[in-house]
Amino acid sequence: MSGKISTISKTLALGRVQNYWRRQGAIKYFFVFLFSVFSYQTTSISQSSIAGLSIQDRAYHQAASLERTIAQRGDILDRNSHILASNLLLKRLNLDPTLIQVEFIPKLAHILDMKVQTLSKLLASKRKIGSRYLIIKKNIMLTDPIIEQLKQLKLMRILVCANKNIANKLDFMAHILNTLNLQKTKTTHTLVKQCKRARIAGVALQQDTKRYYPKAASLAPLLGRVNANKKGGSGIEGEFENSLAGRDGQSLINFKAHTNKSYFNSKTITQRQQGQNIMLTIDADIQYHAYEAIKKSVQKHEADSGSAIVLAPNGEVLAMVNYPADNPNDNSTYNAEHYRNRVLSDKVEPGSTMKPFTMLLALDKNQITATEDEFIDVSKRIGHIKPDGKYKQMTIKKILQKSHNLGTVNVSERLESKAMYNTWNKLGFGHQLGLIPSIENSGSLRHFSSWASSDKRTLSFGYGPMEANLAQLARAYLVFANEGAIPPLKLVKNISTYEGTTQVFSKQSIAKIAHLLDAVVSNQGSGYQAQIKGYNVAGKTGTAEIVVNGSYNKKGTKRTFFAGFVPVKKPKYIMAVRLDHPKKCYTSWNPNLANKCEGSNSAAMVFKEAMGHILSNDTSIKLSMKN
Amino acid sequence: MFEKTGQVPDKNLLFAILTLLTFGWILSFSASLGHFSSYDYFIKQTIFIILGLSLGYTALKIPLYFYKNHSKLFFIITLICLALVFLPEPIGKTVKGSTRWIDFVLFKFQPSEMMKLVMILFMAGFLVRQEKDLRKPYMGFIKTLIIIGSSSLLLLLEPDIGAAFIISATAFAMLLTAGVYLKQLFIVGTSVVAIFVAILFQIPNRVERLTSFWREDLWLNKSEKVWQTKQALIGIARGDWTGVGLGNGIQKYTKLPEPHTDMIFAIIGEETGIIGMLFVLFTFAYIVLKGFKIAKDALKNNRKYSSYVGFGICTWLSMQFSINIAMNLGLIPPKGFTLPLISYGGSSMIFALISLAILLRIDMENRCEYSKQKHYV
Repeated sequence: MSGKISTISKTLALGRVQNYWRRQGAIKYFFVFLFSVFSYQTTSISQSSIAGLSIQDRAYHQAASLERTIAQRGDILDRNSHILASNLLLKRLNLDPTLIQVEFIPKLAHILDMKVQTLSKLLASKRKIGSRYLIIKKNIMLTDPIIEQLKQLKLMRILVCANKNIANKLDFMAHILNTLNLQKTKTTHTLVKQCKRARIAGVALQQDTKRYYPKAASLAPLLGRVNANKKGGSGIEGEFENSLAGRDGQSLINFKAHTNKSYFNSKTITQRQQGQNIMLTIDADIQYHAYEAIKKSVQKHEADSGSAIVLAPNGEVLAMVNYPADNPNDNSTYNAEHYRNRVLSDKVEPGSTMKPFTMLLALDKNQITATEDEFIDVSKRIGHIKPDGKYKQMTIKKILQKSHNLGTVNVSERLESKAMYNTWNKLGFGHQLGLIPSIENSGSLRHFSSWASSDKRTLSFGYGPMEANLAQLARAYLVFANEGAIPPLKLVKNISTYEGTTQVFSKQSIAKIAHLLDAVVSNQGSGYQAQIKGYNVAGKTGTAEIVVNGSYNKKGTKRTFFAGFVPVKKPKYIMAVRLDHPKKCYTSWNPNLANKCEGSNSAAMVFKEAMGHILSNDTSIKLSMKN
Repeated sequence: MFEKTGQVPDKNLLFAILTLLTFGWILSFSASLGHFSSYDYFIKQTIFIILGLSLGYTALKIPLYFYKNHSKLFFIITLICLALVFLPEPIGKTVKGSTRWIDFVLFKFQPSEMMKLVMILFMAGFLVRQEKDLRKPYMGFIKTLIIIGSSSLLLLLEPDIGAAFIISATAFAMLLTAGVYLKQLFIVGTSVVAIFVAILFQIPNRVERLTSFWREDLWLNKSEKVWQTKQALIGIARGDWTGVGLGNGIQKYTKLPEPHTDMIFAIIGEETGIIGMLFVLFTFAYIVLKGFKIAKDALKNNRKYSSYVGFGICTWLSMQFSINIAMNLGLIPPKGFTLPLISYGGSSMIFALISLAILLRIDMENRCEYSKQKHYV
């Protein structure tokens, strides 16, 4: 009986137990359900999108930040690899006004050589607007003692006191409610003064670069300079901006905020390309001498401006100077006029310096012989050119020596307009030189079909249907160094030009006229002030009247020119000089006796001054025993 | 104390546990190294795992009746430990506003993790002993409430609301399966909820606050807590199906505040992708389902204590696992819950391993000869 009961109770118990495992099963299936939801959720998250942007894109954008790697600007070098423009590595000092402790301000002011009050005020005004940046000092050289002093300051610990808000503890119930997100009890704070020894905070030396021009003003108009955004504004810096600046790299990288270390997996968008160096054909020494000569002359003759260019026989520009010019390292001022490259940008009538070309053409066309026994009649008026009454007839040599207009016009009368036009065209007048295209003025040469009879005459002595920049004039003189041929000009090394050398005049004519130009630079010629002791110099002066308000100004406002080359045989340097409106000129025999300004007593002196120095540095040219 | 069963642990289950353990060990290494740039956490975690495995191995040798006989003692010791954390430093340790740790110099011990297991061991014993009470309306229930209440109060004071919730919920689930009358459970349950709702209505903006996570657009929510959720989702999205590769995740560096503990699942999602996440989910599901099966088998053998313990362990781990994953998947607002077996953390790792060892032991006892089984509980 009892056994029966026990079996029944066992069965009952089992029934009960079964009930329990159903309950266990219910809990189990509840979790199974949850896990299924999770499985679904894991696969769906990456497909979801927020406000039209897929979450994966969002993740991508968030994960990476665009990092620029700054390309270093290329240097500008001269033909001997001397640096004309480079980058200085500098530091700038940023103070974070929100972090700097008051206790450190006197020490900081001492290092910065400032008044404590001034620094405090500066910091306070920035702190007021919540700014974290106060660039207190820029362009700190790496050797500046400030850097070492700052290093010491950063190691120093002094007692720093600060008022700190300490949160008061919440009572238990409020804490529970807060944690359960049911009630927000505002935590109250008590202001407590806390003092501890601490290091200075918020002082950062940041990397900075500055464009530096070691040759200062002497090259400024040619090189131009970079602006505040480190972009080339004018001159070489502007023209070759793309090559010099290089290309900043862009990559998507992930930053570890607190250490500033980047994670791996960076993705490069644009590869950084460092700026390329540009080597000019300029010779820094020649440039310097030319600049000093021009500067001296402009100051002495009180000219408005002066410019000069020195060429090598193969067309390479050795110097290109302009005055007035500013020191490009001084950022405090900027005067656009002082960065004007007058050699290339101004088109002017070159005046008498063009006479040798009229003679060369006449020689080539066999209209003159240019010998001592050939005389040109200068007693009759031709067009509006009147005889001066001083000479009746002149040799070609005399015409050039005295820069006689009527004599030149007489020779030009024997030439055809077309032949003159073609020759002047071949000499490159009216054509772009392609040195710095953005600032270059290509001048003009009107087509002969539109010439009046007076145009041919004036053209023969450098006026009328032509205007040229100084570089074009200097280039025309290259015929004397290349046996009548004219090569293209070159300002940047390692760039070959498309244009080839053009033969303009015959070798024989060149030799004859060169000989005559040698005579111009003698005591008998107008170029007597360009003579350099020990060297054979050939050249031609020029004095051009400037058009003021539509007509030639006869009263003093003039341009004076000198174009010459040295030595006469196988010239090595070709130089052209231009002075605008010199106001004070003196006779050669008395340096204090005022005289009318002409090419002979102003521009020619620049040539002598500059060439004298250039030649004395050049040992390859043999001294001539003639003088 | 030790007793042989003549059985070996279930190979499949053991293999699943060790697989998940290894997987978690590698991922938490990746996360902690990225977040702290230090190997310390990896080394510590390795030590914890070794310690956990050896303690687990010991637990395999201990028969269940040992726990049943000593569960009161365990419970009291744990309660004392829970109280000890409130002692001032150097004994109690407060981190980020919570006082949860006892400082043992070399490591910090978190008694709330121990309480999770001890509560199961104690509750199971209590349920077996009070079987009749339980069916008596309300008497057993009140007793249960006192037990749960005493530990929960201490946990709430720390405050460790997560642990209090897990422990209470596990205890209630055990109560349910121990045969409490549903009517009774329903009445008490409703009244608890009613009290809660009543309190809720006393607080301004209560409902908004409680539900703001689900109501507001997650991506427009600027609150700092939601930031974690957003970052977890972004990390998982980065991972896509195959993940960005072990160690290649970037969310662990600064975006996720606790990548090696609470947010480890998001790191798994980022580095090993959906495949990795599903692997963790399925492996864990396998372990728990196996555990529920063991509990059921024990019940069939009329070994109620073992069954309750096994069920309790499975419920606890599943709950902890579910909450953590739901949090990482952006289904619930973030709270501090670790992922068992995977997250970094000494106490939770050690007790999870001991619990699973107990589960294996129950299975071994289930399978041993009838003669031996007789004195098993």
